[in-house]
Amino acid sequence: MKVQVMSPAADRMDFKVPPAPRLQSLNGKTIGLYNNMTGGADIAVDRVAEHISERYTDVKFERYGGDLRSGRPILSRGVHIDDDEAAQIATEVDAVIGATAH
Amino acid sequence: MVAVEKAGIPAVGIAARSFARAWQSCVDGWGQPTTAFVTIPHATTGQQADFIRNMVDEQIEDIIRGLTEVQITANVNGPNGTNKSSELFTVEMDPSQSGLNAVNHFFAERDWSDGMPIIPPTPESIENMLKGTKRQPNEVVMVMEPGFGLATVEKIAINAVMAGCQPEQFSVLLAAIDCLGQPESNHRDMQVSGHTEAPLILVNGPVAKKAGINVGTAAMGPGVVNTANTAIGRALRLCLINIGYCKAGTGDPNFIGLPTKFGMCIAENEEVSPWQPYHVDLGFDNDESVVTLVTVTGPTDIIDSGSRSAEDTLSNLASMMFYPNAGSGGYLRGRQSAQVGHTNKRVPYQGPYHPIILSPSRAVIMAEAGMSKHDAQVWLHEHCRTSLKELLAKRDVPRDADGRWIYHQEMQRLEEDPNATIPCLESPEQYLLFVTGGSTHYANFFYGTYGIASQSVEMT
Repeated sequence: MKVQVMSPAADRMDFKVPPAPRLQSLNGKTIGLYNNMTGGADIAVDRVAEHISERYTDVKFERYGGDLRSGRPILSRGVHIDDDEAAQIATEVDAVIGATAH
Repeated sequence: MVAVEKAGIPAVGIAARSFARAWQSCVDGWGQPTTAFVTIPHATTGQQADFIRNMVDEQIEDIIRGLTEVQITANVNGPNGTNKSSELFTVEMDPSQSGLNAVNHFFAERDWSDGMPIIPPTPESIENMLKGTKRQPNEVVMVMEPGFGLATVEKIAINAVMAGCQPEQFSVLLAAIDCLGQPESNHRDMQVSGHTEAPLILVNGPVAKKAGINVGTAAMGPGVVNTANTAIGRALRLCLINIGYCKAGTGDPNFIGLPTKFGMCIAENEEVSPWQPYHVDLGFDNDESVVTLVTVTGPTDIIDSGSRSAEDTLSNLASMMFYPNAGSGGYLRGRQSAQVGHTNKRVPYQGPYHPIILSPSRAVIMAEAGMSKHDAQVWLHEHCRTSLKELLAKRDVPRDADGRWIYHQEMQRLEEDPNATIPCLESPEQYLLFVTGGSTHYANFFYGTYGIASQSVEMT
């Protein structure tokens, strides 16, 4: 007996983002450190900053996540970077390293 | 991280190894399968600082490489998928054991089920299911994340047939998916959280009887009497898997999962409840049919053989609801927000809502004491409290340049009082009292996690 069945799987939205250009070197760059306020994510990105500071010259860091200062994105576990904030971050830093607890 | 790449600068993420497949699934859906990420052996929550640093140390080369080299990642199931809409397949069946199971095997090979046997979705059965709605088969009800799948009425019907739904139950399922489509349901976070949670479908109004939903004894359990409850709940799960691409271990990274994720659908026992139905609380007419979808974890069964008063009953309920570190008082940091679509647009909403499934017997104790549902909610709101000092010690609240709290400034005067407590939730309505099941001395408490939304049901 032959049974005809229909696929339950949905078509997906056609949406593509090309990778951003990579950096030649981290020397002299400003790196964004994003943690989403889950436990220990801040420690992870701070450790990355220590390593980068040891290896590269004139590197600066800007922290994102849990920033309570007025006008800053209050990024957290439940509040992720939106397009506008990403555009703002791109004007402030040259790259972002992010960590979640998971 | 994809949002950052989209803005034109490189990004690299650090995630626990058990979330690697989930991460890949997410970035696939976000349209950039080569987004760089490195994994560490364990989640960082609760770990000692040195342990976290050691995990990072081992991955530092790859972290730096992520910013300087484009990753080459195989994208087997790319963001556009390979499935044409309602593609038709032919499966050979015969009376042998494997022959009878051929359709299930075919679906399992494609990861198209919840692991349980399904009803074959034949074109005829889909046509029949579509008789349960006036909506057009190609109508897109929502875009379901994390896979950004197009939830057409037809695709929902296919999954409904697979779950064992009947056409008279289809409008309830459609309304549940309408709820998911509302930003306030925050369905993305429900789908992709490592936390364990599941959608609970609450039904009010005449559609419950028409759909055959059991409102009595054992209504959330197994049994033929619960066929409609089970099928509707299961159909929603199949949609989340097959339309939202929330598949175990990839789109769905729940650390252990929950049996409730197979499906939960109940209706209020409006004939027995002493209080007005929940949908009337929301402002709908009494004779309207309404579905509410709320994301929950649990439940906790609350036994109460000792209460002799309304206050005793509520006190017993309250004793089981909150525990340290469960997020009580989070409203001082602003409302929860759902983020929608590829722009990640943020939509604030009030939450969480904690459903309390009250046996009619428990509600009657309160009603007999002259307590309305709202009175009971206010009682819970006033008596379920958390220490402000402990809350602030965990994490500060947003303040303006002068140190004033941005949210709930009226409570800031309590800041200097080490013994001050505040309500666990922002408002009484967040204790969602829903009366159903057999009439005895129990209640079930579900801890609300993410969003909630309600939608009137199309009556056909």
